[in-house]
Amino acid sequence: MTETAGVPGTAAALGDRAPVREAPVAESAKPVLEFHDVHKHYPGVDALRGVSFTLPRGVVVGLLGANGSGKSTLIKLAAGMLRPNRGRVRVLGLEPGRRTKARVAYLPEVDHLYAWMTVAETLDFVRRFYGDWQPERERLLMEELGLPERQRVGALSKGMRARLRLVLALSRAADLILLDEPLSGIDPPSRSRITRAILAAYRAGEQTLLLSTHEVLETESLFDRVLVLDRGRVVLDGDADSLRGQAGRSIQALLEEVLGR
Amino acid sequence: MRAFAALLRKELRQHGPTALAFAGVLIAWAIVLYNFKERWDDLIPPLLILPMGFTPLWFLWRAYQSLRAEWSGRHAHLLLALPVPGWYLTLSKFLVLLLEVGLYAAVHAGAIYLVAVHDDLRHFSSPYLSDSVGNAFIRATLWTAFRTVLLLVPHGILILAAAYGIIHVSWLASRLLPLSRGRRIVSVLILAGLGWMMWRGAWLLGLALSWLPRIPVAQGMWIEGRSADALWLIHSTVTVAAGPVVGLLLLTAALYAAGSWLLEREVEL
Repeated sequence: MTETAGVPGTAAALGDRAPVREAPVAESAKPVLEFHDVHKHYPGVDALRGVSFTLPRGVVVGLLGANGSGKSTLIKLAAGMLRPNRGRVRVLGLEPGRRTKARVAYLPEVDHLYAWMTVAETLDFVRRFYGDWQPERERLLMEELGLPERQRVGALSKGMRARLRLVLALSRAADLILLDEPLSGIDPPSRSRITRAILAAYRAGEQTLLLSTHEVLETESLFDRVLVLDRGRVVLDGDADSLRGQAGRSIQALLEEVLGR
Repeated sequence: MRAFAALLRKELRQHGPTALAFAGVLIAWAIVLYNFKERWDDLIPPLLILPMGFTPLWFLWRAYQSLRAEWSGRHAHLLLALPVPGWYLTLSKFLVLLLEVGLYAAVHAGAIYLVAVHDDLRHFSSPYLSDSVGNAFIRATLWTAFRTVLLLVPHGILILAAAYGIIHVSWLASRLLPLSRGRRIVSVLILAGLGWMMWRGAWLLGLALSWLPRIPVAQGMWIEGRSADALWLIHSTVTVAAGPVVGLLLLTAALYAAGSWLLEREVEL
């Protein structure tokens, strides 16, 4: 007997005991990131308290909030670096783990590179783990960000190391890009260069980008959607243009109002 | 395998300079002893062996440091984001440490041979043996020593693998506890507990696997008789019960699987 799943009426014709398969969901229609009532506690701190949202493919999401609001925790949960105490996190329908790590590009808040490697060695080391590495995109980003290939990472300035970390995250055709404070501690000229690089490397419609930042003024033009966290809860989630339209001003001003600053 | 090779290369680059520097110190020590061998005659053997006695402690320290450095340098954020099984990280670190210890052992063996054995062999003479029998005796002795080393190496590797696995898992297990202080003490306590469990576990498995044949661990050689132009040697092989060795092998594999699982599923950053 040949199963013909997906053809209307076939399951009924085969009788009640016939296997019924779900119609295949197109990869592009699947949500890229889902949080369902996610709680995360650290000793003495509730970092996330019942966070729920769904991100589709092809959006740039600004993750905003004050220090300690849970932004980094949320990103680490999506990257598979943390596990929720309660609730469910799904990346492309999968529990975060080895399989999702192959499809997620993660830029942590901390400087995690090896000081003894050169820039070229760092790129060479990381690219060997990912089948979605884009050499052409790497070359363009290296040019755009002006990184010296032969210099040791330990000899780079903080800003240059931040640029290198960005190259590592953006040189991949990952389905989900998680950038945790990519502009933190960077001088203003470098910030605008990094923002330009993010725009240049991001593939609209193909990738979902979740960007956590305090530098709202520099980055808000990138956002399609804004998620604002306050003390572990989502206090604002909406389309960036609508929010700007409603408020009649910038997202920075709206953020200050929402967070009561 | 491409990913594993990249991790292995990274570990080699990371630990290579320290290993080469220490190998250089050992070579310098051997040169000093070689130059003072006439003056320090009786002290030479213990002084030659002395650094080798510290190698196990050095191995344990390096194993602990190789993990700690990844966390303190925040490189764990890079390594744990890689889409690789946890045992890739563990095994690449262990293999490079093993190479390091192998390098020290090779330097030691070379130093012992050159400082304490080479000249004695070159000028070997016995009033009881002809030159040809004396040379044959030397060759047999060297062959016996070589065979013993070959037999001991796999057992040594197994013991180092078990020690590394214990350090690795105890370090990772200590990271699971929500501690702000005292993590090092907890790690040492877990290490001691795990070490005891491995020891007892290998012993118990040894009892269960007592039906396995014995396995060789060393080669022995005795002179049974001699004449002016002949020497009768007896070669014998020293064996031990395979049960505890196989038990330790199984427990070590389980330990690496546990370490891999902790890295992939439990450890948080």
